[in-house]
Amino acid sequence: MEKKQITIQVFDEVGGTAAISVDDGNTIFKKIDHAITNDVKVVLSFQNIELIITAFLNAAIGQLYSKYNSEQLTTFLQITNVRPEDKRLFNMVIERAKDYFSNPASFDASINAEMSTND
Amino acid sequence: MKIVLPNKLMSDYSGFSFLAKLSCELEVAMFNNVELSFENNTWFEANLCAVLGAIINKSQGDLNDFIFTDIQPKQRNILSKNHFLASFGGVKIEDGFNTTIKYRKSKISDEKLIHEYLFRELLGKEDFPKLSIGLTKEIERSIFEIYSNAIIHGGSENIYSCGQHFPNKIPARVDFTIVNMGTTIKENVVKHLNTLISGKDAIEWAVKERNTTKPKTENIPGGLGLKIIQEFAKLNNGKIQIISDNGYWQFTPNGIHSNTIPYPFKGTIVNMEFNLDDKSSYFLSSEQDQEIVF
Repeated sequence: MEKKQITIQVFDEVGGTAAISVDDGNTIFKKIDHAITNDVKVVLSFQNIELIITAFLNAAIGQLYSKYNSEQLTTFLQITNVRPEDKRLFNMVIERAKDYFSNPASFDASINAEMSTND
Repeated sequence: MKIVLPNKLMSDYSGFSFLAKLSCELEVAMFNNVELSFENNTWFEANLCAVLGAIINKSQGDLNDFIFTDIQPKQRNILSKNHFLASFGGVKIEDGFNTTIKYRKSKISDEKLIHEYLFRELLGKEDFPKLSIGLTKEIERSIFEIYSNAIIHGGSENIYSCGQHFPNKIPARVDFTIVNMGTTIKENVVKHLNTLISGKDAIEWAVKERNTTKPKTENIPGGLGLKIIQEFAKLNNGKIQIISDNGYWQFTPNGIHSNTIPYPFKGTIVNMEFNLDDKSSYFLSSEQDQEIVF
């Protein structure tokens, strides 16, 4: 049976054309999480969004990788109406999140190693 | 207490060092009448109003009172047009040439109002040069990445900003400065790494891709914003300066320069300089074909 599907309009969630707030990103993350948990697919539409920053995307999209893998997100999440010039930003955030959640401890280990070699 | 501003107060190592020293001197003052004298000052880069305003506001919290004296007509004109003096009891006047970008003290909850301010004061101004959509967007994004960093990492109630348009410089440029008087980058990095490092090293660590002081418990990755801004500054032939604690860091397409300033600044200053004569489209054809891949 075809999965149920909902659409989240980012324009409506952020109350305008600028996706700049971490709080708004968190709200969207929670909505997506709630849907996936209930086996519902999500279309996340960026129609009418003119400005996106990484802090928003880290909260809305990057945070999903703390709970889901690429395969699950490919199944449950569809991102639409993103302006061509913004797509790179999404991919950067996704790559960063995968890296971050694959082994968060390794970040601090490598950082500390780096700092001690600089001493 | 009388403080005399230098002959030239510019967005450079010397200018930021002076302002950091000023913030230290005022830190020990309470119930003082502070005279900020412009008697020797012939050049004041108006974007630095963000720093001066932040310092004065913090000091007013210690019940110090401020007066500005001997401001020369040219400086008075600019500081009235950008509403800096009006914020401290002076007058405001209309900016016929539209080269000022108003001084603003924003609550961190005002994110969306800041967006309107930026459009009204900078990118949407009628007299502002017609920039490519790509350049406009990258400038806007850079500024908001910095606002967002100040909100996430600064932990202070207010964020101060001010800019100045220099249409007659070659290339024409805009300087935009954002200041918070909250937790310094050094404090955040030391706490995160549990390692003692200098202010300069802390900034160098924070600007590297992947590095973030966000707590792991939040489950939100970070460490991309400053990378994106640096990439843009390189393409745009612009400049980024960060001053926090006793660290000074500067990025230009020619390279990175970092240094220690003699007096610590108890907050963080980010100054961005944008080159407005940049004709790049910022839309690479290969990027337009990119798909979002989970």
